[in-house]
Amino acid sequence: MLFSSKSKYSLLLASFLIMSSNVALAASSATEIDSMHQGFDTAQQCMECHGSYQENAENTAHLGKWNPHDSIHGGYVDCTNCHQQNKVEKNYCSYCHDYKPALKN
Amino acid sequence: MNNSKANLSRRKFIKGAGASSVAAVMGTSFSANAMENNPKSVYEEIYGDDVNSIYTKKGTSPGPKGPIGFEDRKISNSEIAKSYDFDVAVVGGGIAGLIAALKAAEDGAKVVLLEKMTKGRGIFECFGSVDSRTQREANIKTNKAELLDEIHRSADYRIGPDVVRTYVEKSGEATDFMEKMFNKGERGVVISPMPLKPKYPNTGAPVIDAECMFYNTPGLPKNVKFRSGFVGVQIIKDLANTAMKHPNIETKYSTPAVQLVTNGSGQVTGVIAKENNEYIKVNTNKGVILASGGYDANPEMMKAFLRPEDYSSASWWNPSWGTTGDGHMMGLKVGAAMDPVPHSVMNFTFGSPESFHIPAVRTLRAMGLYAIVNDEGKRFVREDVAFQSISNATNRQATQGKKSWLLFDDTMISKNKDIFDKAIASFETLKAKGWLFEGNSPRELEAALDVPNGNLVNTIEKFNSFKLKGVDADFNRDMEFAKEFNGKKYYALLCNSVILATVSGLIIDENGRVLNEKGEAIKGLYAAGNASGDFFSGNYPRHIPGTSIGRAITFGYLSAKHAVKGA
Ligand SMILES: Cc1cc2nc3c(=O)[nH]c(=O)nc-3n(C[C@H](O)[C@H](O)[C@H](O)COP(=O)(O)OP(=O)(O)OC[C@H]3O[C@@H](n4cnc5c(N)ncnc54)[C@H](O)[C@@H]3O)c2cc1C
Repeated sequence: MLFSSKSKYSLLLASFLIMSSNVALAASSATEIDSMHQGFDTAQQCMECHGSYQENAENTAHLGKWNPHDSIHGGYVDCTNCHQQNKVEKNYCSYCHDYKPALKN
Repeated sequence: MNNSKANLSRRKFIKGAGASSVAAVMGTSFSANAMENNPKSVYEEIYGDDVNSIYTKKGTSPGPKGPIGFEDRKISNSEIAKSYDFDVAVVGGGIAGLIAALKAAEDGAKVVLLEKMTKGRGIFECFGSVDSRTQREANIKTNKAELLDEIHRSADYRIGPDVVRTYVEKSGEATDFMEKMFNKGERGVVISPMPLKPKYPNTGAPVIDAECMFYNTPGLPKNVKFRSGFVGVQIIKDLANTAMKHPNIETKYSTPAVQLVTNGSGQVTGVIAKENNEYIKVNTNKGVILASGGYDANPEMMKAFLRPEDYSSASWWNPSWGTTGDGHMMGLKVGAAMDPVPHSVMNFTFGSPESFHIPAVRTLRAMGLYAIVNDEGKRFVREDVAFQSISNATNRQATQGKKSWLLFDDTMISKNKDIFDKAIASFETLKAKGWLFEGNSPRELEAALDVPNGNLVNTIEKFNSFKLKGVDADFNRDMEFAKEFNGKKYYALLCNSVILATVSGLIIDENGRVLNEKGEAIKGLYAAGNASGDFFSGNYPRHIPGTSIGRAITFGYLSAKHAVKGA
């Protein structure tokens, strides 16, 4: 294993800290999950809770050659290319491919 | 006095002690976000005392982010978990790195190939070559002087003569070596000359016959053209497989090289890498070959070394993101000279706001028939010029907030009914995204695009009159290869400049040896492919056949040859 998945903070603690920050207050319309992720903007932070690049790749290994976390072009890549906090902002694969893993795998 | 800040940064950099020079290790193999919070990035400080900042407003670089391997700090011996001894270490498992590793191994050296990603980058379909076996047998006689002249002209004569001359003289030999490796491989890859279309595309520059392709390889899909990802992946897979099985090569994937090791006299004696989250040291007695590619997946480096207009409004078409300029930085850190900034980018036209207009390119008949206009419905460039030039003109429009549109009608879509129907079907998606507008007349299209009244209609009328007269009075386009607008449907497709790679790098000599600022070879250090320089200036000259892969193959081969056997 290249990367350890042990989170330094529990999600609960992290969300508590964030909820009490100005950032969370400003975005009052956000859902609970949204607020929980506020301030988590870098790949390093993502992996603190969600596990390493490899672990994420394994979680989506059933997508075969369409596995976005370990593509045929070579993994692994920074989470923030596609994810912004808890949202998938863009699917880079779909920029060039008709991204339908279920059909093509 | 005004030097003090620069001195400080120089010292900081050399000692690796300043905040900006310590790569934050994120509990991963990579130091991806190391430079993010620093007011001045390590890329700007890398030159030390003699920096002369060219005043330009920075853009934002919206492209992808790859995992950075380079670490700008002193890694002490106590941090090294394991040491290995090899003759040659190759950094990067793309085309240049694989050719280098295989050549060194075939010449008897013990080689380690370090690749940062799970797979080496493979994105290409064709490559430049002169006088290879297959070209000789097809009786192709490349005009070498013309090729050399065009390379120099395209670089505005800002390059030295040795590297490009060596490319012209030795690329055939290197291609033949690659062919030998394909013969050892399992995929049955076939190299053949790229058929030349004599007068298309007419770029205003000579058409030079010096390119090979892989399209005749059995098992590739029929419509494989423009599928650079697919072709490149297959080629790299085959070479990597041959490398893995080679008794003289040890391949290490997911193993980023992080910095070079030098001895007291400045000779490169090895490389430190990260394997399974631990530092390893590879001692080399014959050389380290940097084949780490460009830095198209490192936004901070793009901002430091490129013209802002080249990236600010661009899209990216580069699916492998190991290219973060690690080799450039490792070389600079041990005193290498680098191409002067601004660096050259490989940019194509025909970009969508996300990537490349792949479906459109496959279906529009002869990509060269369209006209290009800006938001005001006015032309701004001759449309038959080389890709990089259209990109530059498009980027110039973008600096004033103007988008570019490819203008065509239904007579310019493929004449093949199947392809025509596919095109029309794919237009639906493009329309939904706001990238394509249509109308039953120029007037209707003008309204749909919200172009100032009359502009688009005038442009089309003028264009048609140029076609009739055979002369483009505005931009000197070769009207023989244009078509008048007279269809039933008129279209405007949003067109970006799209980035494929960066192509400037460390200055090398004709043997691939990296040079310092005095022009002396740094012992034990080589560079090949997009990590190397002295080949391009301004842009990647797309109209010259395949010099990027051609250079990577040639200098991967030559640097390995020199490292193992000397000159
Ligand atoms: C869509 C597309 C189509 C193209 N088509 C063509 C074409 O037809 N003809 C042509 O000539 N050119 C083409 N190009 C350009 C071509 O892909 C590049 O110029 C070429 O890949 C450069 O080869 P290279 O070996 O120098 O570097 P790369 O292929 O970029 O390989 C560098 C490798 O080094 C690895 N690496 C980086 N840092 C480290 C590190 N620290 N440690 C270990 N490994 C590291 C990277 O992960 C990567 O695998 C195309 C590019 C694109 C995007």
